[in-house]
Amino acid sequence: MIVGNEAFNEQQIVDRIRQGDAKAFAALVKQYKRLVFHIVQRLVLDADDMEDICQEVFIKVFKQINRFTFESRLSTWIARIAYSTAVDYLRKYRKKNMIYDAQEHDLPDVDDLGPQELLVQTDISGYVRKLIDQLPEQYRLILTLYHLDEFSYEEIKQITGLPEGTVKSYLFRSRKLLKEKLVSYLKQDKQ
Amino acid sequence: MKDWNDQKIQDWLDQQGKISEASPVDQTQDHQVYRLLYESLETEQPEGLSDGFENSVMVTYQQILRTEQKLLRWVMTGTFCVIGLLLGYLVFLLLDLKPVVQVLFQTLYSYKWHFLFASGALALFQFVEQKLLKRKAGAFDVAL
Repeated sequence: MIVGNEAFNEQQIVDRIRQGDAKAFAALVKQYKRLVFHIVQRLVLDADDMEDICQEVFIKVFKQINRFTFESRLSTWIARIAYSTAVDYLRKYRKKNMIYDAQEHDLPDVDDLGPQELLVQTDISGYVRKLIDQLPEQYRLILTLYHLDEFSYEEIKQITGLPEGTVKSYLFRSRKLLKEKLVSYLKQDKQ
Repeated sequence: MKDWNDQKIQDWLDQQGKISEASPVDQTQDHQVYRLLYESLETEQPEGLSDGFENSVMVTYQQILRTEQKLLRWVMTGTFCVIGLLLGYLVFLLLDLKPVVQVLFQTLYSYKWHFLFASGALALFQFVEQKLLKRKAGAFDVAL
């Protein structure tokens, strides 16, 4: 868990950053760069821009640190900034890939992997990663926030602004979809 | 019915926390596949940010700090100048300094070229000093 580190005291770090302590800000970047990367990577698939967006997130965190009121965990607040920064980026530069409003009737087809790609995917994790990349952005993000970053439904709601019911529904549907594809893949693998 | 089964398995795995623990309904294929899926979802991706990412964030952070400090200095200098002028004007009003000011201006006028030369030399000296300091700082950054 990202914030489980005892040596990292949120209150102290935030206070020190507010006083202009560069070492405290460096510690914050080190602590949360993985989380920010997960979120940005799930929304922005363009590897060239990913690092710039992650950097922009941390600069926003620094500029807005005085607004942080400890009403949520620091990780949730930073994740929210990362999410809005990535969404802004998509709105600005990738209009065609705008946040996909996932509906039951238009779930994407994740069968698009060619036979060569399937051969390359020797491990299940790799295959699942490929499948996730083809899911709508919000599905990808919610799966990552829940499973990899271990945020609760309530925290995911705070980060994405989606109702808790929608978060649960997206999570359920995306996992079910992945499970079905994985069943087909395993059957194919056995033959 | 199928959805209900999926929901039940997902709920069970969510509540379980640790996916390594054995499940009482482990025999079903769906359950086993879900377990594999959960393991995959909790596996960190091999890609990540570059090694120089933290440094590049810190460089931008330092630039922002420097800009903010510079702005603060300008604001403070401006404030002091305004306060100084107001105080000077107040002193001028309170003490009748008209004759003194007249003498001062007459003296300044008679030595105008000296004062202009001194002011110009001072401004030039400040300009050259700033240039040299910037060049020195640039060389230091490169050396780092």
